[in-house]
Amino acid sequence: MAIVDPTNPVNPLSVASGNLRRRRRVDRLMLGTSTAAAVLAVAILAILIFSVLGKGASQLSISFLTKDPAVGLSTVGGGIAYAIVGSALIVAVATAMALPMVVGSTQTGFAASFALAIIMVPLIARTTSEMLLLVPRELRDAAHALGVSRWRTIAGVVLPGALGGILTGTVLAVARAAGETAPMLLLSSNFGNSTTINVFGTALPNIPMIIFNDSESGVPSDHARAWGAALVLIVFILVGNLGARAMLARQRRKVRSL
Amino acid sequence: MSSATPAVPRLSATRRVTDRIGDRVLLGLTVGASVVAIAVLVLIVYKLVAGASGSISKFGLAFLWHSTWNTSTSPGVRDANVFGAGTLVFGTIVTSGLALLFAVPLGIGIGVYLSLLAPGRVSAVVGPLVELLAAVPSVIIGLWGIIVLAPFMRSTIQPALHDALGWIPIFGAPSTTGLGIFTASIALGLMVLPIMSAVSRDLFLSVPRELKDGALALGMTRWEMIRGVVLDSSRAGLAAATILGLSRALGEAIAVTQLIESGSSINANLFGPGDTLASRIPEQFLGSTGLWNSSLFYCAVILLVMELAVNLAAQLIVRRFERRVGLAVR
Repeated sequence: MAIVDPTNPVNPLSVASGNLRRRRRVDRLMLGTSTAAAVLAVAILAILIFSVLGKGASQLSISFLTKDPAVGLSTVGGGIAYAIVGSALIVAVATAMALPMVVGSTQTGFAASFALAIIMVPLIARTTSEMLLLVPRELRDAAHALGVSRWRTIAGVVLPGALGGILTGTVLAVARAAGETAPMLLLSSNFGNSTTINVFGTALPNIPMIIFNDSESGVPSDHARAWGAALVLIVFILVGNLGARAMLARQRRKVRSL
Repeated sequence: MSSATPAVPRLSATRRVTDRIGDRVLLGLTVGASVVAIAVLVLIVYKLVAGASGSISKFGLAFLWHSTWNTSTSPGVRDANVFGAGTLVFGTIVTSGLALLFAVPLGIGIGVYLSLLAPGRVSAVVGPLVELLAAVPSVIIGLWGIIVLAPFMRSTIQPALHDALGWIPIFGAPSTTGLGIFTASIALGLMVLPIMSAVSRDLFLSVPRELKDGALALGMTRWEMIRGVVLDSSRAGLAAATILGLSRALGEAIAVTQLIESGSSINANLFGPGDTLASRIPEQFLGSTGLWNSSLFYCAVILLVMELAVNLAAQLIVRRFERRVGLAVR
């Protein structure tokens, strides 16, 4: 045993001691534990998804998606259209935002968009730079060797090669931003009961706040609405994530074949 | 001969004006975007510190351990308008610690399964599924926590732990709602789990095949190989992953707000209510004024410093580890 692996200071004999039967039992036990951990994680995800599906599906209907909440003393019934429109607007503006603005102190949809944009920037930047680096160096070198200027190289060679990756990063960031609740609570929570597209003037209703408010309420019909809204949100996010994964896999193949 | 020299457009001695302008514009745009990103970061830090200055000058560092949080401003009330984040710092440390206690062993176990035990097809399905857990918004985890997890905690887990280990003060009387520090910690653990399992799977996959095969060839069982070779050579990476998970747990606000019951005193009983730095801010920010508002900003500053320290620690560990590996290779 003169050979000592420098990356592995533990002497192999010190872990491989004891009789064979005991070693096999420990082996089985530990491998079983680790498999059980994976099973548990999948089970938790399954319980989570089935809770949302089971409790949200009964709530889901055309009118739930297209109507605003019922007005009046009884808040039972009505839909979350106003929150879907509001969420879509906030996320869309956040995605489009390019200019720095100071977060205002009053609640507006725009302020929430700005906060989301701050959250999205590093996500998109990371995926983009990763995908840009994946574009083979030879392509860039070839363009340089042909006397193509830098901006033409980037605009004509590097960006098209990485376009799928950039799209993927954007989709992932949108999916992430759509579920953000804390910025909404501070910047777009004081909204009314009807659909509005006034991004700059008022707080916009949004899905995360609906879920948050209804989850804190003690009324069963509010809980039902929260599950319905959660289902809408989770479907949007899962579709975005799965789509982005598929796009990323395609992009990797494409870049590798270049 | 003619085929070897393809028709090359004649290159002029000076580059075209549009190209020069284009290069400049592109450089300007990209540098500008980076500067804006940094400027926003600086602006956030500045706004936080400026907002907190009132509370910082009034309470100083003692804010960190004093646990009075009295929002009343009427002069007759004892300790009116006095603030301290002791309860919140305690709650933040306890919930994050518990979350890691749940998520780290489970995450490493999942990593071992996905990288070394599972058949290729199973791991190609289960791996992304566990990562999808990270995509579930925290407000939905909170909703699930209130309606599904909390009743289960109240009726089953908490009474069982209290009956078996009730002589330890941390397993006190079960809460009447099921909400509290313990339930919030489990939800946090769920959010740390995908980070932990994805990073540990990647770490274990990167352990050289020769080392694993060598260990097996020496007659080790698979577990002995995993413990002696895979886990041991990934120690630094696992520490860094744990710290990454910690930084996620420290900053989570919404699910904790939904699940922790907003307590205002330090309580040894894990089943009781509590509060964290991150969750107190969204709970109380709207409608807060004066010193109260400033104290919430102070909480945000503390959180920012904690996150910064934690992320620096992770980078230090990774760097030290890289040096060690570098030496070993040489």
